[in-house]
Amino acid sequence: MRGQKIGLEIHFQLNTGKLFCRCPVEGHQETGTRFWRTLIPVQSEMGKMDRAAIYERNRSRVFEYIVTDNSCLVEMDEEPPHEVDRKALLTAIAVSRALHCDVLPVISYMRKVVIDGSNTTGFQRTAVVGMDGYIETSQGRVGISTVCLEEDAARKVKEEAGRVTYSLDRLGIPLIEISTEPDIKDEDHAVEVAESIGYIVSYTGSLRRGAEAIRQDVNFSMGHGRVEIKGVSRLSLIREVIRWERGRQENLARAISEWRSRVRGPSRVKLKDVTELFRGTGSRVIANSISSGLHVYASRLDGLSGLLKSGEYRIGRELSEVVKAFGYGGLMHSDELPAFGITGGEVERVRQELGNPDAFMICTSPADNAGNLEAEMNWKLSMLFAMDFSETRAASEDGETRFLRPLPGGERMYPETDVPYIFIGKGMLDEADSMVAPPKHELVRSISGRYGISSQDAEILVNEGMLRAFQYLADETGNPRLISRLLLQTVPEKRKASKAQVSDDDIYGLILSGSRLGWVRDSFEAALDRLFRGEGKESILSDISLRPMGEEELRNLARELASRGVQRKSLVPEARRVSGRPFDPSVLLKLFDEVGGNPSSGAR
Amino acid sequence: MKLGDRVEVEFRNRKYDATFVNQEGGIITVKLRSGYNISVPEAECRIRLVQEAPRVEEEGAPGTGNGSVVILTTGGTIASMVDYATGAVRPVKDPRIILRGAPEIAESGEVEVREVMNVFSENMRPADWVRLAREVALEMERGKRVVVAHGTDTMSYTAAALAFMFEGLPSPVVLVGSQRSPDRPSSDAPLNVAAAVKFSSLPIGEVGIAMHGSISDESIVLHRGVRSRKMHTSRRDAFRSIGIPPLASLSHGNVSLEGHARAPSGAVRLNGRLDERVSMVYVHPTLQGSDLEAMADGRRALVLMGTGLGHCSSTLYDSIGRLVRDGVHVVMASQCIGGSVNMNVYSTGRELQSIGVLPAEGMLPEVAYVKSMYVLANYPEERFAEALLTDLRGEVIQREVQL
Repeated sequence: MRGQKIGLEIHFQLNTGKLFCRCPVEGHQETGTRFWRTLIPVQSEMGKMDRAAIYERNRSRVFEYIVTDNSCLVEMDEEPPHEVDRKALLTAIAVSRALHCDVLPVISYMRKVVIDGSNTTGFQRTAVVGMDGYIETSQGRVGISTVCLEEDAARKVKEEAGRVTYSLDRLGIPLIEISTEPDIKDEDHAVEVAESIGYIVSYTGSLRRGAEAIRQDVNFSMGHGRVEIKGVSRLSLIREVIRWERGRQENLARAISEWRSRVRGPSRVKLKDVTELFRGTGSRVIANSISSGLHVYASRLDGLSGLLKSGEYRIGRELSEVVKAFGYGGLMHSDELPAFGITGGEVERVRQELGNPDAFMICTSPADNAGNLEAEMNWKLSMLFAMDFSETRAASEDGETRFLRPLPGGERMYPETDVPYIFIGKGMLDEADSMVAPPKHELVRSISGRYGISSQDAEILVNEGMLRAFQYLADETGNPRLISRLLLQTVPEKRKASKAQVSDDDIYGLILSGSRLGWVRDSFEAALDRLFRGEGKESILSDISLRPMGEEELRNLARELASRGVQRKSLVPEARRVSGRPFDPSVLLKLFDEVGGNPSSGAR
Repeated sequence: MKLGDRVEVEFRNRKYDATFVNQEGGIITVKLRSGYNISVPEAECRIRLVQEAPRVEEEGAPGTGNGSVVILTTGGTIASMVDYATGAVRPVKDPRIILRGAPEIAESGEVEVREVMNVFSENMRPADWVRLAREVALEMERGKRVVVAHGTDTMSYTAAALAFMFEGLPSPVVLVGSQRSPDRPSSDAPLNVAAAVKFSSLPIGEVGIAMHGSISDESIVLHRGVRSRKMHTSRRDAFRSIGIPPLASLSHGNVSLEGHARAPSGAVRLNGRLDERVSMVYVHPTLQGSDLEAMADGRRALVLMGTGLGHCSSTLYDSIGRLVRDGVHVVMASQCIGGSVNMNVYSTGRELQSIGVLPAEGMLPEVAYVKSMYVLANYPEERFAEALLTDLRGEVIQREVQL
């Protein structure tokens, strides 16, 4: 589409250790400790206060943090950061090299101010590792602006008015953030770029597995300012989010053109306390708000009649999102009222109270924060009127987007004085180069050839980030086909059928230890089944019934089955049924023939 | 080049439009359009001035209002922000900044801020305590309530010194510090300062320390200066009252005052005499008599941080005996921090007493050290032991109860 610009910002969690402390990445058990903080916006070294930071201050919230078993005083902002995790840094360097970036000779950490509570410090530590690279795609080169190594934020657990709860389990996990230039042509191209970058990170072997390990932000613009859409969780969602956002902006632009033809400037929201009008209201939403101590406010919205919600025109939703972001419920407006239990009489009284405007809105807020809410709504209206849609939005699971906060400026960053400069020497570059991905098709071909597995299987191992585990287990066990089968069929099947959280370390450890005990395929399958049913690794490994039958036992079994007249073709399932023990089917068949088992019919 | 100048940086055959941040140790740091700073070795880049930075308007004038509370700043984390141009830490003078996060106090016009000195607290000397005490006295004579913003490292030494030097206090002297600098959104400074301002109007005549009571931004407590200690390198609640409950606490806007706080006296009376010739030694397994004698050289008193109830190796007895005979007061406190010294339980303790070592009883080691300076300067030599062990400011615990 003409004038459309798309860029991606992809975040990859690493499985190394946390970035600035020596806590493990995995773990989420609560320790029982919780604590509470408030955050205040600060100025950057350039002396300017960031718009996004002011917005957060206006929301004046208390943050509650849940301490988990994989966090320490560093995550609690009770201790300064330790040195950067070396392996995470090496990974970021390798990824930069694979993306043809310049690796900076000096890494200097920055504090990116984020005071929504997701960082206990009030900032995210981030540093550029590589810049000015590119990636080859089917539609030409796409520029890579930066590769950063930063710390992941705390995980939001609960949000209510004036209070947000976060868990510290995710805080501090290393994230590689890769930002592309806005060179991406369309939504399909965006998916291709994301996949190619994903391969490069996955190849390093440091990519964490799990649902939230890869998160995409989409930067989108079509001439009305840049919208940063956060948290696109799946690759396929990139397409839907871009399409949805394009539709939203097109409709907004049409509605605003109409609005601009009616009025000379943006309507000003002036919140008037109308709580008294709603004493004894039949609207449950409003009544509940009043009883929880909130006030009801109304404001004129001059010139917006029919544009708040009419067909595709939905300026009302834009305002409602601002109120929702404050956590005080939503907003109702004259295009949709009477509704939600609010009567025609109440609507008329509000309209009269406001001096009979063509359009108006109603919302609820604590009295002491109504001024801040009003300021944010006026900011939003003036942006819309100027056809400037730039802001930070969040993607939902169904591909829609909603307002998150104003777009932060560059001035929200200042130097992290607690982390000294890191000098990148040739030694580190060389070390990182062993983790740089070769072109994917070459890698697939070489793996398929070397291990004797199909190129389809090799490709899945590469795409799913299991290559290193496969190579290690295949080399250790000397049975690449079995390993490939276990990783690509057995484990996914069991995982799907199970609710238990089983770590890759446990799976790989079980396979490795089992192979040292001489397990055969049956043993592995039974063992993995038990692992996914929640049994401990040690208990499974100590169960001698998983060890395959020895040759003598098998010979006796073959003899017994032969004497019962079992046919050769039903020998293996019958042997499984009778013995209930694992064995190597090829050995059984060989012994069956040796003891003179019947190849086709009953007993001699 | 200076902070804020627009520059063009050429690095590895690429040119970047950037803003100059600083140049330090052979490294040039610039801010790119994206907001990221990058740092490159001077030798590897070329930098060209494009446009000088516009003159930045000065920070608001220092608070010179006629507030009823004055915050005296001495330096330290609480009263400093990083200066991005030089990487140095510079003092904050504007009350609106020191009270950031507590706008209701900043805007009340109640508070003025005055810089007394600007040092990291680890560099403070007894002469600085005396200077600070004089400034405090001056403000109190003008009818002001006083808060002292102070680095946390030696804040309890300063608090103890002020406590002994003020023989009369019409209102509390509240020392306040912070463990996270005010240039961070998560700084503990605003809450600590706001609480200190509130504590300064309590009807007590104590020198106290106001800091976080827990790791949450929930309650701020006021510790008695002569019973407090920094017990953690980095936590917000690093300061603890040892052996007694805090004097007061502020939680959700409400101040509660404990019963054991000392009443104010009518007028401010300052006795600014201290004798610096005191040192303190941490007893450890390889400590030798010669070390002790070297540490005591030229001193009139030596505080030992002994082990357990107040012991040290018998290999030191000869040296201790020599020091005592030479007229040095050897005082025994305990490195246990909690609990009192009792040198009657073991024969070694009794032996030390017979050599002439004076048990500090229920006094913290640092307090015994500072108090020795005060006693040496203000009491006759022969009354040292009696004065040292007399409870002057609530520093001696005679009855420790379960807390």
